[in-house]
Amino acid sequence: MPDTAAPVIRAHRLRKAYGETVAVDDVSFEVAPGEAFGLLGPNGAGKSTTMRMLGGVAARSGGELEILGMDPDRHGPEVRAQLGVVPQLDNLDTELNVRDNLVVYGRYFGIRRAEVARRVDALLAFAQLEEKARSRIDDLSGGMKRRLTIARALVNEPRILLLDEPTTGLDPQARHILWDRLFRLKEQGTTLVLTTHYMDEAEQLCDRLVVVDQGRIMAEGAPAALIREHSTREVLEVRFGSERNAEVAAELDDLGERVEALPDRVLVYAEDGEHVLAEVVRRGHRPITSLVRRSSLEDVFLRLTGRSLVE
Amino acid sequence: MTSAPVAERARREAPGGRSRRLGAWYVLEHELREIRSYGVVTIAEALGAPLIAWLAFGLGVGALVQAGTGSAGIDGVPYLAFVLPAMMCGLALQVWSQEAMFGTLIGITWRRTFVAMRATPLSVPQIATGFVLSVLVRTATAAIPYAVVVWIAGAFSSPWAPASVAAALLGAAAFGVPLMAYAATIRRDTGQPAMVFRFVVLPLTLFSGTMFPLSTLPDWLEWIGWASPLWHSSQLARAAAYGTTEPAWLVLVHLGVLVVLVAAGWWLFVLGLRRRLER
Repeated sequence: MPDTAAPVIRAHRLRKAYGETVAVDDVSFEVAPGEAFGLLGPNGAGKSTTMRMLGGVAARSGGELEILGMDPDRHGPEVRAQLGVVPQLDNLDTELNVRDNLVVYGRYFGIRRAEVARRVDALLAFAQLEEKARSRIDDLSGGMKRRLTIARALVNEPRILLLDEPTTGLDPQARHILWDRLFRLKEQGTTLVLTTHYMDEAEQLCDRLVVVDQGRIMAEGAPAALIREHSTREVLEVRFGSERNAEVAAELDDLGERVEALPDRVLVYAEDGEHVLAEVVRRGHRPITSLVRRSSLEDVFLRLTGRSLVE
Repeated sequence: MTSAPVAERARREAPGGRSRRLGAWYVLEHELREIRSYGVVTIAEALGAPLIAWLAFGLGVGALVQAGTGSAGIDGVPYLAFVLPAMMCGLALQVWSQEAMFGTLIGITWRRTFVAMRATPLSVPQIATGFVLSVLVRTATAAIPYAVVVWIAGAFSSPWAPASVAAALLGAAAFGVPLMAYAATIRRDTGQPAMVFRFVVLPLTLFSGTMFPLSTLPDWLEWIGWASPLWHSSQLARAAAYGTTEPAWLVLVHLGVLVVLVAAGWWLFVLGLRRRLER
């Protein structure tokens, strides 16, 4: 196999423990060059810890890890020189203006001043921040700060871009602008590895993903394949009032492949949602509201990781 | 699980080679850009502090002390010549302490700039060294103008006088670098910075023989001076400013204590940063 087709990331039985607490346990995956790969999971699932190990800032407790063929624990600076990192929390320097934030970061990679200046101009255009070049960081919106953080992560022209929850806290417009920028990077061949809470984001951006829970991989595959494997084609959502949902759900148990009673609604997983709805009505139940929709990654995610609140 | 050709190519192409040599310099560059952003404060402090000290110790307290000591002065020189080099050391220590405490908290917790640096080819020792150098430069911007004012005030009489600035900076580092190591251990700010300034920095300034000879203190208070980097740096600064009667071995002790404190502080600072940035 030629070098160019070799995985850029190989994780084998990766493990990270903090004392008695195991944050990442026996995680294995590979990421191909140019692929957009996602890590999905609830809070505390081990996504960010995995990202820190990939980023060469947290030593693993066990297993094997290769980034571009190198062990980040042994070749940290060489690995990090070819990574772009977008952290979960913005860590822009608020004492510097937008342009200077990019310049100082570029210098950390040993890029000469003239070259940094050329790249910064291009990155400001890419991030649609040309008019804000001299602005203070505190004067930027949340979306602008995230775009600047992504632009900063690109200053070394990385082969792999690590994005830890890149759109958390952004409004829908800002998210769509950010997705557009990430699509462009993907088109240019940059490998993307991202964690996210947003299922629509994972479906939009990821070629392939793993669902992680309690430090372990629960499922792996392309979004559409995961939906096919772990859910049905359609889902019927019906509401009978919070007092009756559980009672009616028990009577619909034989419909579809699976019935789930939630406090506010009943979900029936089936290949043909309209057909199931007709059967519900034929049995004399009158839902307050009904909705037939296609199965989504969210259905898969909630099925694999459970619906209990994880803080 | 090996892919040696890929690894070899990636290592060869890694653009981080210059960072390995010049990483600390890049951190210094970053911090200097920040210092530039509050340049007015720096200039005001650089000129204001020595002028105020000159007025206070030349005309106020100084006149009173001078009247009491007569022509013998203190340590064989007029009170102003005795006190100003040590005051310069005190100012340097205060500036360094502020930058050390708040700069470290900014880097790790508040603005997380050290976290951003750690995601690049920079190593933790490079981050620590670059930050220490930037605080050295920042403190020098206060100490050098101070020395110029001291010179104008006629308090320097030795050709070695410019070395008093180096003594002030070394003394400030001997306290400030270990303080960086302490600041790196603060996970939640519950008032520790204020406590340090009130109960460590202020007593050091008062009991380190800056405004009066250490020997005038009772024995049970004198130990603060012996342990204080400020006393060691003040004695060195005085030796440079007007020459003292201290034996050469004691001058070497002053130097040795300060150098050991800086080295130990840097080592502990690196350990502390590793604990916070490499989890």
